[in-house]
Amino acid sequence: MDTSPQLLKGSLSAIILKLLSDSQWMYGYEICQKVKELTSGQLKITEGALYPALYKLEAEGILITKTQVVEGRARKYYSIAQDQQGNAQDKLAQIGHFLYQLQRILTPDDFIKLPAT
Amino acid sequence: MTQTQHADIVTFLTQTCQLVETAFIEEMTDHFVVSVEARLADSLSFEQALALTIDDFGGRKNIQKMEWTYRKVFLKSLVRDWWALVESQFAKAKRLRTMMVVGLVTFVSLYFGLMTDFTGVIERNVLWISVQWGGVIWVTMLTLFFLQRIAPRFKKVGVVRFPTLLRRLLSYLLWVGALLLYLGISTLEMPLLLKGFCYSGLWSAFAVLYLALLDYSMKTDPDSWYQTR
Repeated sequence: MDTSPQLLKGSLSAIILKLLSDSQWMYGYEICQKVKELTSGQLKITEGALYPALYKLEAEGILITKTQVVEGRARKYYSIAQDQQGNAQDKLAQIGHFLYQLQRILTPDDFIKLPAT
Repeated sequence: MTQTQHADIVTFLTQTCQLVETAFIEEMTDHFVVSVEARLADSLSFEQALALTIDDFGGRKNIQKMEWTYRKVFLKSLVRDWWALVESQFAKAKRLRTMMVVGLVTFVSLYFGLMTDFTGVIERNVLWISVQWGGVIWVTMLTLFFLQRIAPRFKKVGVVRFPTLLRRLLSYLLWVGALLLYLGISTLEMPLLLKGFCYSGLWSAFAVLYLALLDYSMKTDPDSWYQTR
């Protein structure tokens, strides 16, 4: 089943923060592939949505960047700013709390049976 | 990936999408190359791999939209970094330089503001002309900036990138703002001591803001006033 782009868009910053809190430095393509890998291809972040989300988090000062030359190309890496680790954890906790409340509202009967992965 | 295929990706980004922001193009190029290489490894042709990667981004229009998002973020980062540099002017490492520059600027402003009829001269001399010419340069750059995507032919004259455009605008606005406030204060009827205090405050603030802007320019792009490629 395809995930609604709206649902995915709303959770994008949470996904980015979670991945970066686990892996320190990551680049755009790597983030897309990691999500695909973790969800066995069930969730697919489009690049057209990922980069604006990364830029927004960078503008808010939550993410910092560094550029490294890899195979002759400049590669931009993203990481959570040292002084924003707590802020990122708070954001993740907020989303966790929201998901918990959502689960309390939705009964198991409301869920459509997901295909086995 | 062959050099021709790499060149095709760069051509798509710079010619078809008409992107101009260097840092954004570099990030997109890297993403495109990695993505296309992964698809080539899955036995797709280069054309198919490139088309699929473009689809991942939502097409050419969406890539252009992303460049505007990049610019908006750049603007926010610039303001944040600039303000941090303004604060850093009072840090121990820069304090002496700041005091010397602010002291000199304040002394000159007080001398010209209080001891001479500088206001009468200012409207006719090179300072006022600098405002007009600065305005002409800024408006020309802004026009080229907006026209370069609609009419790529203008790129032959030179490429105007957003970071450069913003730095020029900030330099210009600081100068014009300080000059207009200076003229405004000079026309006010107030005790000489108070007037001197206003001049000192104005030019000290101007000097600190300008020093921070110079530091920012040196930190981010030390040798680009104008680029033709």
